[in-house]
Amino acid sequence: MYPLFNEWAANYSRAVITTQATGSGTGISEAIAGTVIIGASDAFMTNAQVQAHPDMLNIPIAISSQYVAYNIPGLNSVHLVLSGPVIAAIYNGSIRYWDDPAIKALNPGVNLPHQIIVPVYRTDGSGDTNMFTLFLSRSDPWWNETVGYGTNVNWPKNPELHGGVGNSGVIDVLSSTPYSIGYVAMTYTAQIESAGLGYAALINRAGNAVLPSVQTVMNAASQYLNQIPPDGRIGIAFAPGSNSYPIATFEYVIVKKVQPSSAVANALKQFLTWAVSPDGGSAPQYMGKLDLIPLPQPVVQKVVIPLIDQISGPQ
Amino acid sequence: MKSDELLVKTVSLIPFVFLAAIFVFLVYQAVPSIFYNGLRFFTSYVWNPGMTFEQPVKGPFGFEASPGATFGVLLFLFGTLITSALAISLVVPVTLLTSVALALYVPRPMAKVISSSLQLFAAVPSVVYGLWGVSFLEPALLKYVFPWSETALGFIPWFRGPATSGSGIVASASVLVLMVLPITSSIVLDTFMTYQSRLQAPILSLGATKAETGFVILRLIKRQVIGATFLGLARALGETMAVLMTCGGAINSMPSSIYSPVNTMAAAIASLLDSAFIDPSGMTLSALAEVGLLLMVISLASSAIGKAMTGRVALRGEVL
Amino acid sequence: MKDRSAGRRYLLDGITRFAGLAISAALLLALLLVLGYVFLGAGVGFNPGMLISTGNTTSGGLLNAIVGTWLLAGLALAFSAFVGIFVALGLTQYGGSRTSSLQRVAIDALAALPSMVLGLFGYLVFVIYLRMGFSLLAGSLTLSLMMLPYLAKSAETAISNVPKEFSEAAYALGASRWQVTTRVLLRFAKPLIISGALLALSIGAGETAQLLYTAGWNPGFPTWFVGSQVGYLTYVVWAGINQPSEYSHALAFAASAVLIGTILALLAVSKWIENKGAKNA
Repeated sequence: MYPLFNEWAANYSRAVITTQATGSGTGISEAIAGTVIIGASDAFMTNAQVQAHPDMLNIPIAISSQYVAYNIPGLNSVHLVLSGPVIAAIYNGSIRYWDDPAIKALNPGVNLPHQIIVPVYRTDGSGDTNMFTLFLSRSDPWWNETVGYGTNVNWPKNPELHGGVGNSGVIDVLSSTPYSIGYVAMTYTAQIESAGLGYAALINRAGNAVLPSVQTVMNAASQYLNQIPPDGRIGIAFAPGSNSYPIATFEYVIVKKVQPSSAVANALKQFLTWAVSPDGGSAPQYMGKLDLIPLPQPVVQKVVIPLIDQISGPQ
Repeated sequence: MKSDELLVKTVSLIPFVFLAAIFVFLVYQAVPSIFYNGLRFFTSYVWNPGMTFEQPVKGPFGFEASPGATFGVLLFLFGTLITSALAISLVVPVTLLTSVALALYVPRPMAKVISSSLQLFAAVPSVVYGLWGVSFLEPALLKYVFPWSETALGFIPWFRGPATSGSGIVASASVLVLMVLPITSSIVLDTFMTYQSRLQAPILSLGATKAETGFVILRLIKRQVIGATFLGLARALGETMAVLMTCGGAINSMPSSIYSPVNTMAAAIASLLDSAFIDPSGMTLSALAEVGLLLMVISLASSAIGKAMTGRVALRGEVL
Repeated sequence: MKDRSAGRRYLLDGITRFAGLAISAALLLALLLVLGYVFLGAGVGFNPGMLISTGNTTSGGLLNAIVGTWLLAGLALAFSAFVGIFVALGLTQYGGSRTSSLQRVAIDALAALPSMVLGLFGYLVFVIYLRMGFSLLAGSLTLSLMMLPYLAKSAETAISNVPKEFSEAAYALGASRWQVTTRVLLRFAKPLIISGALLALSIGAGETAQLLYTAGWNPGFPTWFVGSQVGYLTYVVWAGINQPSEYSHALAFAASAVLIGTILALLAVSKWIENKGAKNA
């Protein structure tokens, strides 16, 4: 989110915005504490946090997504088809080799090597892990039961499991470890390409193999239009719809409902409204540059604008 | 008491205060984990922060954790011990041979130069050894060493592999060797030369060869050698960055072969502390504090044994 | 000695000699290769602009990290030198034997603490409990805990090395303990203390674990002791090599080279001062 806010800050003339790069956890806690006006996060506040701080708003501002990337010498230009249950089985070790019948069944005609799969996870608590594990939880009952989802989870026992620090660390591990597989944020598209890694087409809820793209991710978000609660907090992984990409998440700004002054409240409302407008902050020049996906307009109208309206100055 | 005496006595209490504070704060922070995880902490390798999105629930003794949370240090403890043990097993023979060689077979001025350069290597930052480990050693291990060892040593189950990446036990142990050697070799060489000055002439005059002289002296300083090993071990146990960068970051699984990724207590604290911020129950932070406490106790013990046997403390770069 | 034929004994001697020399040479070679690899890597991607511009481990340069390292290590040195010298005074001039041995145990124990334990303590106490946040103050306080044993030991050695006649003469002239301490002992102990301080500085500059969760990171310069984070060179090495870009790797290697160069220089000056001090004594 930091690069996005930097771009916005540079181009939004009606207010001065300064930014700081931290993790999601810090973003949320500093917004709660009031040390920052806007905390940006790709995970919404937890139930516990909401209960403790009912005066906060979680406003979706963009959508981000993820690649399931791998490094298979000779096959990195091929988009393998993988499904949630297969990936879950890879991570727990029950699918051990790349040429396992389950993978072969999804990829007829692809010459898969008989090599051990090395899965990679994120050691730092991150929204990317949350996104990935939410997809696995919703698509695979075993994963849902045993591992669950979160920014940090109870990874299944697999002696081949390697850890990477940050998205860049994961890409590093993938690049230096042949036959490895991992999850990487879409904001790292350029690095994945220059590292020569491949990425998968994932089987979505409708049973179709879908490649990650702006369109397929927006489709996923649109599917939840009627389910998004008024407070905006919802996970949009494994969306229904024939052309939805199954891994996606809203990016949130966390702000206080009651701002320190009316002037700040109004400036904030103006900025956020601009940010989600397709002519403003959600224009392709910002989103596309950073491989983020803008919110579908119905979502903006139905959920985001009402949330922004709740911001006010002191009563 | 006069004012200057008061000033000196007060300020010189500070190390004590900090040492006590470190112990007290770690224990205080670790108490929830100690009670919540109990003995399981030492027998389980599962590190499960629980469903951090849900409300924390109360566990035994009333301490809160995220639902389903359970923490075990076994993997980190094992990883620490095996990487250190592997490193030490190479460090000891090399130290002995180098000391004998430098003291007996190399002209004294050159020996002093070589010995000083060895100490310089103790001052190289840990991250730099990690950098070398990641960029040079790991690809080299994966490409050249492991294919050889899988076949040549494959009759030993733990060496059969297969090796899937360069990071892991071998890489970590290797960087540890480079970092511990200067410490142990400086102490052993120093002690050796002290005894040598008195004993070499008499022993040689009895008709012994240089090698035999060397072995006699080594046997005499056996206690200091073992002590130096413990001091080096203390360093290896607590080493963080180089190991963090080369260990592979394993979790929730014990290594299945010597090529497996692994994790150590110090590396685990460094890599998992970030995730502790997001745990609303605070139990992850508490568990990490317990890991830190365990690490502290083990390192202090090793250091204390080493000090008792050699009379020294290992400070890097000191014996220049 | 066992009864062996002369031939076998000389063979053993020869083997030991060969093995010992070979291993020593191999060891030295291995360590030199590590340094060589780092400097070679640094040379390949280096551009002088790195030294004069600030950066954030994916672009830019090392200036903020260089300044940050000096700030952190320098401030840590100030803290640990202050305490260390007083500890040494307590052990030599002002001590009783009972407190002395406790002091020594405390110093030795501090020296034996793993760096990450210090880092965890620093995070818990300085960053969180004392509310310093990620800052120059939190980082340097944590780092000073590591440096303290070096300063205490150097100062103690330095003060003990001052010939007794000097202080005896001063006492004979009616000087008080404090006057003797400051005007005689510390003055003549200065070279060795400075030498020890430079050694501690060199080690402190290369530390990471204590700073990861206390100093934070800053793509610019810190504005004050608290309230803003600090960048440092070892972070660049750690974060830079963790990125998949060539430029980040170049920064990591460059930072390593700067670190090693600085450390070697500090050690050389430290040794020189120590030798000069010994000559003048």
